[in-house]
Amino acid sequence: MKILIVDDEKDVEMLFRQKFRKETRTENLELVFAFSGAEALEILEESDPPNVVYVFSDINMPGMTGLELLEKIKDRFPQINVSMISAYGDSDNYNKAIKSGAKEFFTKPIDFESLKEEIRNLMKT
Amino acid sequence: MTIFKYILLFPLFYLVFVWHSVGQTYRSDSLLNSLEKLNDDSVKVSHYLELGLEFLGSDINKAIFYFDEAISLGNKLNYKKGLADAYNAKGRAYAQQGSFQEGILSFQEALKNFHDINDKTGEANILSNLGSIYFLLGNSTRALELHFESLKLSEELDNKLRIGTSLNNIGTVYQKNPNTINESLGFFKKSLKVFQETESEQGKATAAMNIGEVYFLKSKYDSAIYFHQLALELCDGTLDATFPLTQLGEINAQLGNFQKAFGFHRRALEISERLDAKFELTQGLIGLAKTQRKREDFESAVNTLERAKIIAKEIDAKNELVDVYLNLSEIHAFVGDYKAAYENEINAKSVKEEIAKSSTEKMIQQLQFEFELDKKEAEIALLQKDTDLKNAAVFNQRIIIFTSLGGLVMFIIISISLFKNNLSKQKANHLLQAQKEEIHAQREKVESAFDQLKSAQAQLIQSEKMASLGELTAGVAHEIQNPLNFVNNFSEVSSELIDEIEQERAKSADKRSEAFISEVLRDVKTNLNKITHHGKRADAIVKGMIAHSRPSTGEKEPTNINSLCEEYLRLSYHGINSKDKSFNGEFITIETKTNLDPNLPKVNIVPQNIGRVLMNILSNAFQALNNNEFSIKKSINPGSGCKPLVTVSTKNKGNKIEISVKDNGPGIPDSIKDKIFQPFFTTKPTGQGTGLGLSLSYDIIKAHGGEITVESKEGEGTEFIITLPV
Repeated sequence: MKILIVDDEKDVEMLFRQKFRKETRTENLELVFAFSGAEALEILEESDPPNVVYVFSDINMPGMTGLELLEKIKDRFPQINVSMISAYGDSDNYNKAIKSGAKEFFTKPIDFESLKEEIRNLMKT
Repeated sequence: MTIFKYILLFPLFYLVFVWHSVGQTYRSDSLLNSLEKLNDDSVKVSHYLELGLEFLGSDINKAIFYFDEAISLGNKLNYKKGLADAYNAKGRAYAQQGSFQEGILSFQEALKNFHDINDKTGEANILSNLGSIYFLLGNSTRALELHFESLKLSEELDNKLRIGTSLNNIGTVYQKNPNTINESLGFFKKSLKVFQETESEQGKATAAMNIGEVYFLKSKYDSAIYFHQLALELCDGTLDATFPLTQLGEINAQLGNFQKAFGFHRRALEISERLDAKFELTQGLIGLAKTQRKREDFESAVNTLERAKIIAKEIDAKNELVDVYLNLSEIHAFVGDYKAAYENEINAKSVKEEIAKSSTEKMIQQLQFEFELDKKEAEIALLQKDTDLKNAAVFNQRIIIFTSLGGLVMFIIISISLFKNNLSKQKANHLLQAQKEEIHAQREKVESAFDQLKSAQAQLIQSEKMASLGELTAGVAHEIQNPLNFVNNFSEVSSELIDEIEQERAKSADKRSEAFISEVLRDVKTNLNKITHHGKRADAIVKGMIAHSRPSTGEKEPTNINSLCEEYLRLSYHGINSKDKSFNGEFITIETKTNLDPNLPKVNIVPQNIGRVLMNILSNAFQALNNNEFSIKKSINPGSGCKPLVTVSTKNKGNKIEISVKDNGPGIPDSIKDKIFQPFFTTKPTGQGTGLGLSLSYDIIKAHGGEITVESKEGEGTEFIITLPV
């Protein structure tokens, strides 16, 4: 199962890989990283239908924002789950995201327990 | 002969005279009786007048007495009509008496009164009478003037009787002068024509006999007979008929019709004798004598003439007497009685002399009178002039008074208007003063408002700094959350890794993998580095916030601009480096270059503030180049020599120095170029820019008396140029 993480902070990749080192090693979980919305879309378009089943995206990024990316993904690949991870935990961003079809809304600092829970729930189905 | 020609002189007089001569005594008595019963009113004036007219034919002095009574009462009553009639009658009485001067004066009074009551007919009559008097006085020119004046008035009144009379009188005047005999004939004929339109038998007769006489003088006997016959038919039996009858007699004698001639003479004499008209009788006798002489019946002629002589002497008819004497002289001479002829000749001469004398006297009298009259007129004129002058003086005085009054009024008006003007000016001044004060107050208000605004602006900038700090808190929260996220999660994961190491070491030596332990330890070390890095990053963000919100209190000091530029270029480069992960990432490499003028003098500035400006501009430049897509493009084409590049250069420009910060980034779109120095304007995503950087930079450079400008071209790059005075 392929999961895409989108964030302009490059250290996110290192963090996520360490956090999910057990899961990637023992379970069928593959992590893919993109550092901008455009890069994320490129990865999604690599195969048809895309093998990514879940996208976690930061909101505040240079260029395409996470919310724009959310809309584009929901438009082109409505079957893919998208959840937002943002430092902005305000209701405005939250409402926008949910309205646009986001599955969950995680705030930074990331609570990896709840994130792992979400991924585990996904893997069970 | 001439006496007949002024038969029209006093037409009224003659009529009254003729009609009332018989019953005169009776009528005057009754008038006198009724007079005593009358009050002093206009009726009594008329009665006096009538009474005077009654006596006019018999006792001129009595007539004049009653006219004077009428005049005196008329004056008392100021009864103008009565006065006019009375003066007219009195004038006629004087004229009849031969007192022409008095007559003239009376007529002039009458004229005045008629004029006063605007009785034009009366005026025309008086003018005619005056003309006749002047004619009798031998002043033909004046006579003509007056008759023509009368004619004009009469024509205006369209009074035929009066027109006819005036025309006849004019003809009479012309007839006196042999040179104007034709003119006289013309006027007599006109007169006849006018009279023929009226019922006046006397008028028609007079005009006709005058025409007849003119024709007789011109020896046109047929015409003369025709007109005399015409006259005779109109007035036969009256005194007027004696003249045409005598003339007809003489004309027939000239034609040799003696029988006819004697018939006419007899009829003329009969009438004269019947009416006891001695003057006409004299003339009739002379005419008969002439006919008898023509018949060569000299004895009868002499007898007739002797009879005429007695009557002429009786009535003092001098002209007729001369005629008688001359005829007698001629006849006596013709029959050879030279002594008698001589005596008669002497007598004629003496009467002629008398006539001449009386004529001369008359002339002298006339001249004297005229002189007196002129003098009086001159006096009157003088008086009039005097009065006029006085009037003029009074008028002038009035003018002066009115002018003065007018002037006074004008003065008052002007004074009032000036006063008003002054008042309004004062008002205006007050208003102006008030307005001035108002303006002053307003200005002060504006000034204070401006001061308030300035302080408000300062406060606003300060509070905006704080607000932007608040805004930053939200924005910066993200910035801090990110490093915090890493610090927290890397330390957490490191802790987990150490747990794993411990688990691994707890294993038996054979199962234990030292390689795994080393790998995990390496990861832990990397994580610790990351934690340090992100901790520092958070620290820088917080410091930046503090620097931003703290008011600058720095003092100016001579500063080496070159080293300041180098310092801040380094700081900003590393600042960006520390902030942005992509900066030193796999794609972008930004180069920096300096081109500093070694001859740059030290400049008196606040280094921290100018440093902040440089920091702002440089950060912008780096951020512009940090745009991934753009920088990738630049990096992909290394052959173009267009690597992302920031150049800082300085230049000595004499009394000022120039700092240039240039990048080859995407440039600033024209649409926002003029907005970049405005406060709170930003193109950066939320939390990455406050929109105050360039605005504050602008204020700082201005505060140093310098300038900051921007030159930019889209797709080529941007250059900020700062000039500072030395």
